[in-house]
Amino acid sequence: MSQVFNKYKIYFTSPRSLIIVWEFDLSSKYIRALQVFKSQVLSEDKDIQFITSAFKSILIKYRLNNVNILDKKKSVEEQLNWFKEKDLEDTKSRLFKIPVCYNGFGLDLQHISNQTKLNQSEIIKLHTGQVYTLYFIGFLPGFLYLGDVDKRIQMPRHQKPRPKVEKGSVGIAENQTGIYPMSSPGGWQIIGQTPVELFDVNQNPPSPFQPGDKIQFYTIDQSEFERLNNSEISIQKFKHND
Amino acid sequence: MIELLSSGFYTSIQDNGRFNYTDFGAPLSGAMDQNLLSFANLLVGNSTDQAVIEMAFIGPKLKFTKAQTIAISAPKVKVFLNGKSVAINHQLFVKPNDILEIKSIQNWAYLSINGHLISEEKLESQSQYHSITTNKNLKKGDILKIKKSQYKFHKKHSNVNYDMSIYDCNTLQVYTLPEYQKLSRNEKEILSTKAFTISEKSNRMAYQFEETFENRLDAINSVPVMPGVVQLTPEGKLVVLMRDAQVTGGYPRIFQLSESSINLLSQKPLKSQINFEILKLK
Repeated sequence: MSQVFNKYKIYFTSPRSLIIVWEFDLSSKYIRALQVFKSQVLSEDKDIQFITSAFKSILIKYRLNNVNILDKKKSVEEQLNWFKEKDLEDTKSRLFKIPVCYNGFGLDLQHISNQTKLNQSEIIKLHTGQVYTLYFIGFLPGFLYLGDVDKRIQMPRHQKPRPKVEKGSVGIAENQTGIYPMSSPGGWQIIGQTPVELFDVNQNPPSPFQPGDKIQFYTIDQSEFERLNNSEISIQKFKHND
Repeated sequence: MIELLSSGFYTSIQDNGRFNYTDFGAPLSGAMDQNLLSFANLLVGNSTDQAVIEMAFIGPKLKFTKAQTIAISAPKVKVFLNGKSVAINHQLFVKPNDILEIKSIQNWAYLSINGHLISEEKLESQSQYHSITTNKNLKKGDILKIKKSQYKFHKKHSNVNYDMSIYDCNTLQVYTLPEYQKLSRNEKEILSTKAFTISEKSNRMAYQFEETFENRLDAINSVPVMPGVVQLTPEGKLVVLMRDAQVTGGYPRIFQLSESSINLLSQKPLKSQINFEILKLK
């Protein structure tokens, strides 16, 4: 574990920012390790203005005071050397099961069916059959990047993005699947919609998800969609500890 | 209280930004020109990170119901108090029923008010952004309240200066980012010698350049990005991420602008030209 996690490169992007890139395979374990490491770094250095993570890298930006970026690099390297597997013990992978109504909301199901020669229920079965790993949150506030999608239903983004994708829409782009937490222009192939609120600025944290979490979708019909849509059910209800 | 009699082109409340939520996909936001945010606040005796009213191109028309100490900062802006032209980048004193009009801004101007501008705070920042705050900007009819500063403000103590001639500079200082190395020698030459024209498509999310680049580098795995990152899009355009940019991106990264160059670029007139100057780290 530590040996894999210790395969990284650090480079400066400005006198006040650096990026660490790891070489691990995209597994839930290493993604969680990255998150735990990120929290450790953040709690130990008051000079940090913000940290952003994605896939296998984190960006650390320091405040505008007299930061010596070479010293910062050394301190990050030291923390990486001390980082041990035991730091992960209290962070078990969590599983969320998210309801999706495919029927009536899957704007691109027919297109995917034409391209893949699979019928719509086969596509839905393949999409719900997989337990996905949350790689990171980005693009829009609360947008979940999940993978990997079964090879048989991987589809490129639309060449021309839709001007408006509805809030809750579930889409596919290449080997990833994701959920639009709010209405937005977007190019993903839309296959369904969830009635569950995924990003709430009035909660802290605004999203219950953390990179490394496991997520699986299950099918609901339109009446269940309406029922959940009209109830203020918390996303926490969909958490299954395993 | 301050009432917006008209909203202007794009008027919003901004502070120094929203730092602790980038991992939830929330952009940093905050004032486009962070230097002027600080300066505008100092002019009225505030701490440098107080929320201010950011205005673009054509400012709003405002009515004050109380006496206030205010300031408007911008490289260039025309300000009228009850129809009469008044000083910019300088403290002003308004009385009840005074009407303030802000016009002809290059590009962003900041209205600071002594005290604390009260507005919705979401995820530890008052900066307005469409999916985080209830409204993405201020509208005609909006009423803003000010909480009085606990410190007494002495006119003569506010003696801060700021050299506006820095905005005449046409050179952006940059550091190279990883995908820069994949460009050809000729393309690197173009980047460090040719002038680039700021596109009219520029906004709080990104500033674009009009010139098209031959090179089509492959997309990369999404990486964390921040304001000042210069990306090369699949259409061959150079795009500089600004304050409301996404926090991750998959386009090849060419440059990182220095902090002061982000502020400088934000204020360069659209259609004007800039050069890149590559700085070496270490």
